[in-house]
Amino acid sequence: MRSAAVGLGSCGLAAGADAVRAALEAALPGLELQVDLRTAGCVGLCSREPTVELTSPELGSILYGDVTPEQIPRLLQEHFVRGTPPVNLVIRREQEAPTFLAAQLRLVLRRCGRVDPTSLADYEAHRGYGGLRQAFERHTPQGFLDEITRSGLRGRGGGGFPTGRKWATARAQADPHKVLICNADEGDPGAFMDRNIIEGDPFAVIEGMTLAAWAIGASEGIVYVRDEYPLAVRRLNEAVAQARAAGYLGDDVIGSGWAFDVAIRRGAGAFVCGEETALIASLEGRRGLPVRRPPYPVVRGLDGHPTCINNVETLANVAWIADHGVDAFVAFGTAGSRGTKVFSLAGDVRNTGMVEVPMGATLRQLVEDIGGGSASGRPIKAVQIGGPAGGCIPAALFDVPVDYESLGEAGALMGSGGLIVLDAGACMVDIARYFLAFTQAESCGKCTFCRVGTKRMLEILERICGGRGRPGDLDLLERLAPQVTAHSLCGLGRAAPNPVLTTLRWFRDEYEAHIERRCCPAGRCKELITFNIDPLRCEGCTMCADQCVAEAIRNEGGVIHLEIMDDPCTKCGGCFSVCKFGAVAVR
Amino acid sequence: MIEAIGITFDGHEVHAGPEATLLDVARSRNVHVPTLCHDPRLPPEASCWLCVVEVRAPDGSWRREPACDTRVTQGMVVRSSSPEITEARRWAIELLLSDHYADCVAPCANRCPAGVDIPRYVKAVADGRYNDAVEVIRETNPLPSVCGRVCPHTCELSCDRGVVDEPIAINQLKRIATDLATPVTDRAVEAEPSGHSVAVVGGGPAGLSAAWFLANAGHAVTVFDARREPGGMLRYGIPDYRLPRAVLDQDLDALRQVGVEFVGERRLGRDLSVGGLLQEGHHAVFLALGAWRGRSLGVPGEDADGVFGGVPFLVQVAEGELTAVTGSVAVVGGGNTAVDAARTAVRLGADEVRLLYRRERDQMPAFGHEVDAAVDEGVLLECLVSPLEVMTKSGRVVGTRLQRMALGPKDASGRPRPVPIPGAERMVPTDLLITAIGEVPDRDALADEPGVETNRWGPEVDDATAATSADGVFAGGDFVTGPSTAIEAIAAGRRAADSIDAWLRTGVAGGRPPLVVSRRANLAEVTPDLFPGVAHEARAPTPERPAQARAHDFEEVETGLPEPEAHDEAVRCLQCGCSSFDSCTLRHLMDEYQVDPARLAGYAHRYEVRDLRDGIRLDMNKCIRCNRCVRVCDQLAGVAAIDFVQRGFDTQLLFAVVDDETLARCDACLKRGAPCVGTCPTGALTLPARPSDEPEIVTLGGRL
Repeated sequence: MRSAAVGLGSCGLAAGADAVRAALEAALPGLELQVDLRTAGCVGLCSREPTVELTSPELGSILYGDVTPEQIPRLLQEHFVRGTPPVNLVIRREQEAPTFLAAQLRLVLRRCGRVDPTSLADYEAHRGYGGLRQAFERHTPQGFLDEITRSGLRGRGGGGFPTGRKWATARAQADPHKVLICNADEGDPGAFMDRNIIEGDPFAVIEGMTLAAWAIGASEGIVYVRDEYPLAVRRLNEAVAQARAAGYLGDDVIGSGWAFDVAIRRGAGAFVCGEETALIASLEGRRGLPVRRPPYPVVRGLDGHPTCINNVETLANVAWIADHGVDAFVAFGTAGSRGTKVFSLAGDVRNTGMVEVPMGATLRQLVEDIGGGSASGRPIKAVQIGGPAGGCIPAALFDVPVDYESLGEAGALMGSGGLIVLDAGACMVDIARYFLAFTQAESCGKCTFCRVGTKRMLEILERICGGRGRPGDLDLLERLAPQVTAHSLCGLGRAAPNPVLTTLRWFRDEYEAHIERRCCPAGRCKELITFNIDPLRCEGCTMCADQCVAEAIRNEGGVIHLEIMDDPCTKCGGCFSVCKFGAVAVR
Repeated sequence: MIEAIGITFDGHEVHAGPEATLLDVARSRNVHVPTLCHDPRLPPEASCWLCVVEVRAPDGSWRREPACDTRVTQGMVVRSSSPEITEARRWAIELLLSDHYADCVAPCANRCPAGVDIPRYVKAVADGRYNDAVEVIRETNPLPSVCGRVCPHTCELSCDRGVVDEPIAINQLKRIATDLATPVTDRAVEAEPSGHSVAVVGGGPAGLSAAWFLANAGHAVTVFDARREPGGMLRYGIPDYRLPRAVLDQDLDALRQVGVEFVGERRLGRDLSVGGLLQEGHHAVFLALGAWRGRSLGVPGEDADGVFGGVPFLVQVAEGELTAVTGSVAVVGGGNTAVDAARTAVRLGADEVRLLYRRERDQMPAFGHEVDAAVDEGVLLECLVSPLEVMTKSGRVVGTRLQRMALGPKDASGRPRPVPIPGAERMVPTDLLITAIGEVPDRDALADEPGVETNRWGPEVDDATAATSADGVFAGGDFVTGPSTAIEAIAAGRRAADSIDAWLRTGVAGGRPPLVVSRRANLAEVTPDLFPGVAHEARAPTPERPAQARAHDFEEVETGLPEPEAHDEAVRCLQCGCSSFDSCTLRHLMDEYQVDPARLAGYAHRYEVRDLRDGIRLDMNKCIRCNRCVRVCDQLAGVAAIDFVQRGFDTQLLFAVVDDETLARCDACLKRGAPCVGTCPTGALTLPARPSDEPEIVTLGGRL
């Protein structure tokens, strides 16, 4: 049994996986061996896309990364015919896995990259819908709800609210028409957990929804997915159609007599529509603005009906729990935070991508074991966790376990799973500015403090980064921030100041350097830095001058450079990056 | 039967229906909880966050919640005021004002020290309603005729019309109003007599102003003055050609009508004492002695015959004791007293008059147009000279030895410091030397008043209340600040009157806090593009007699605008300020919470004022995105013609009608009174005034 699987998630496609697949299609007939060509989602190692997994009886499964179409004929030849895998492309042998995968615990992502997301049959071949069948056989809806309560599963969308409690409230409502919504309006910058799960294992989400709807007594299911995820939308539509055709959805779900169906609704891209009440407003055709809770949507939601909104990853967990049982689930994680969490690991580490770890793993494991440590060689100084609502945690606290409570104590939050690793080259004021700029731009504009307050906070950060910080600015930030937090209707406004407050808490000296010494210690803020050439180190190679589009460096071949002219220099940092001798210095 | 829910509200046990919100509870108890976004006819919005109150959490801490959208629950403990609540509301208001590119009141009125409602009286002048105009001025300034002549009218520097072409000739319009108004002869005090009596010491503008407002508040007021007639510097320091006595008397007449008594020739320290006044039955004393004492030059020969101080010289002329001078006159100084003295000397027949100033002309503290007028009348202006010695012969001045100066680095006043050029001296023949290098208050007048503490200049007073260290004794005007303008003294007199009135009625001194207003200039420059459609029209020139004709008599130099020109000038006024001044909730709140409207200034939107549709004007600059109009239009009127577009900080209101049916509904609703406009808590949505409408009467209450 030989197969070739191409990772055709959005990340793979962006890296050229469709051309790799075309090359495979062209080359396989000439191989004179029976090799199944399969489509897969993302295995999580986004930095090595396109990936191809070749499976043969002789070698088992081997994952190859950074594959180009031109390499395909040789790759097939060496793997299948000569049995000598090209070492430079190998990411993983099942026997000797590098820590990126070995340090992970992949429950939710177990099928991603391995199962064909377009095939219900393949899903079923990978234990798909086993959980649903078991639940229907062994439990009543209330019994299954109790199981989820016992599992301690908490909402993975960021809030961490106990899923069982939410379900129980929804189930307790008298209104016979209940709605289950899968929230796939993932919007944090750099976060793509939900997209990957949908693209890689869409049936698991549908199965989780079906289980949730069954438990709370909902007959209507909706996936609210952002329209910027065209592949995810396609995968969902395909999956729903196949599931319906196979009787997993519809008037009589697998012969149980219970009716449930799922509609796919696309969001227009407002970040705040990931907030429950704004999401409902959007589904109802109104401006996507949050309203005050209570009443919570589980009591009065879409068109007035009780509406339970669960996140993609939460629902994928539900499917896993139904399949493997609560006891297996509670074996992972910590007392307050059961199971695993998926993160989008990004930033200044060697390995970036989609990772899943048991709750309670430390940040150090994420950064060092899975991330592979600093990519640049500069020391890692912090992680930004939890997206724009989250915060920065300094390297000194990397032994903090990743669970809801511990992250909260450090001033950050679990969030939906954004995790950006920052090395010494990152300016923490600039990081705060970046995240606040995102939130400010995404404010719906309803609440005074969020609409205007985030704008004023952002202006303060912009002037600090621009070298125009004023003596009272930090005080003003620290007084305005809690006002914005206390006086906003939804989580967007309430959490908007977090990136500012955590960086102020752990990296106040960087702020002070910007304001008092007009200096950016990380050498990041353009208005505050100059590039200089150390003539003692310069070899006269002219690489920097070639790089400089602003012509701020004289290109005199073989002559040692003496200066970078301040006037034309745009502070792009190109010279710094290309110099092989460390002769370009940032001050 | 509706089950009642028991809560604790501000310490009181209260019962309310299950659907009641905390705002309902507050209102039922007459507790003022502010809100901008809440319209009681609509479901709560909870977006402005003005209505925050505090609800006790299980752990005992207080959690802030929007009262409009928080329903009562059994056992809830609520408080509607705390320092944190006040703080939160202040932030909310200041955030709203940081993107509120709008003027509550016209910039000219904002600039006026006395807070005169200039657009309103200018409108009255445009309509030919001169009496109305004068009474508008008198609301905050009891000396309209005087100010029509001598006010430095800094208001005109802030006039928005000046951004388009040239500022309105505001002061000329004030003058014509007072010239053409029919004098009121039967003025009466509306307030009940208070039974209190106040002694005002000093009959200058500060004392007169305090007297007017105290009298109108129902108090008996007596003004004591060291000179025979009241008016102070207005009568004795400003020459007739600038301010005829008859004009001053016209304003004094109004004070007499409201019962102010004037007693002349009573000088503090000689004929009067504070203790004596209180013993005589006055309940409070206001000291407004002015700043009359001239500073000496400090050069040899200064005490020779023929050397006068500037103010004594002007007083002698005003008293008729000095009617002619001959020979060469030298006036030392660069302020208004020096210029007045020089021009007076010209009129008294001097052969030549030199005005000697130690800096450059641009740095002279005197009003520029007065300096120009003096030069036109033949005064020889010599700058960069400073007297070294008064040359005398037989004890009488014959010349002045002058040191030539050059300008050095800036001094504490921000002006370049004059420094001597060694060896550069000259002599000017001098038969009469007038020294006018500044006046100071006469602190010695308080030598026998141990209860009134003094500083190095004059009495020590509390800035906020004008109270001195002696109970019931207040002070203000030039006596406290040193020499300033009449309008500043008038403003000081009114502030003191407010404080004295409060002290008399409650035993606690203190005036009304300053009126807090939104100002465009706080946020971004006011530029011509904000005034589309305003055609350029020249400002009316100030008519004055030619220099040759006026330099030999004491008749007025300026003759005032003729009525047709004044009308045209008044019509140029853009009538700045907000037509929703009185109704605007945001303005009331900024005032109530005494916020700093400029504290959080940053980027502010600058929207063009436009008609949302025919009959509804939208000033997006004033919109606070409370969503009331949109909700009223949709949920109450059933029209759904307007909505917000864009998001976040850039959210804007839009007339969103695409079909005839909606347009027809909107038309019909507009005829029924446009509830969208009615619900607007600010001046963002208004019904543009029809030409026949009377202008909205705005009363600043004299608190600018």
